[in-house]
Amino acid sequence: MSRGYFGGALSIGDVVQTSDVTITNSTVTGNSSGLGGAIDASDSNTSLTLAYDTIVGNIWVPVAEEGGAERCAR
Amino acid sequence: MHCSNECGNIGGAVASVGSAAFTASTLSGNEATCDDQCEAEGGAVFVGQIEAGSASAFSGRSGAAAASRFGVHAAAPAGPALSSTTSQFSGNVAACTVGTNCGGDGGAAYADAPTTVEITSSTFSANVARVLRGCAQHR
Repeated sequence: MSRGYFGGALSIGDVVQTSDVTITNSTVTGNSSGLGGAIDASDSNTSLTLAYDTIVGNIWVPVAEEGGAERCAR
Repeated sequence: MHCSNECGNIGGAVASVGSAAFTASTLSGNEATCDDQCEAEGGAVFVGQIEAGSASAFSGRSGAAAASRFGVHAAAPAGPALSSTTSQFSGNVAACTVGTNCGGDGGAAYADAPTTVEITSSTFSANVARVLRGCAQHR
């Protein structure tokens, strides 16, 4: 299920279920997302384990809302 | 892959309801995109539950309706649902090009919970998960 532009590199679904994510000796760089980070497990019951990784230069790019916030709030 | 309005678009390169394992692989320049009232998940890889027929027919008009699309989940798989070893994921895109009641998660990979993900000696670079223009969907 989509939640809106989370996880430039990796996103874990948002149902409250137990998930295990292990990232080792890996590089996560230069990824971009709309609301979350490069690795998103923020809305699930996820155990996230990182070891010997390089995670640099990722970016959150806010959405440029057309017509302003009022239009988008409707 | 791209679709327009009331649609679902998942896994630009690979979509699996079971597991997906990549070893010494390169997934680059893949896209799962859509325009509006839609979901685009996993620019390169989608692993998760897909309701019958929903991969090509998005029936929800509201955020709540959209949320039911992947509402049925099986027990967690015994092995890794997604594993990557010495692989590269670069320049993949999960995005909504307009973005009202729309979501694009996991620029390179999206794994539906419950799941197990094991990534070893791999590179994720320049992948994108976002709406390109329009309204952000806040949770």
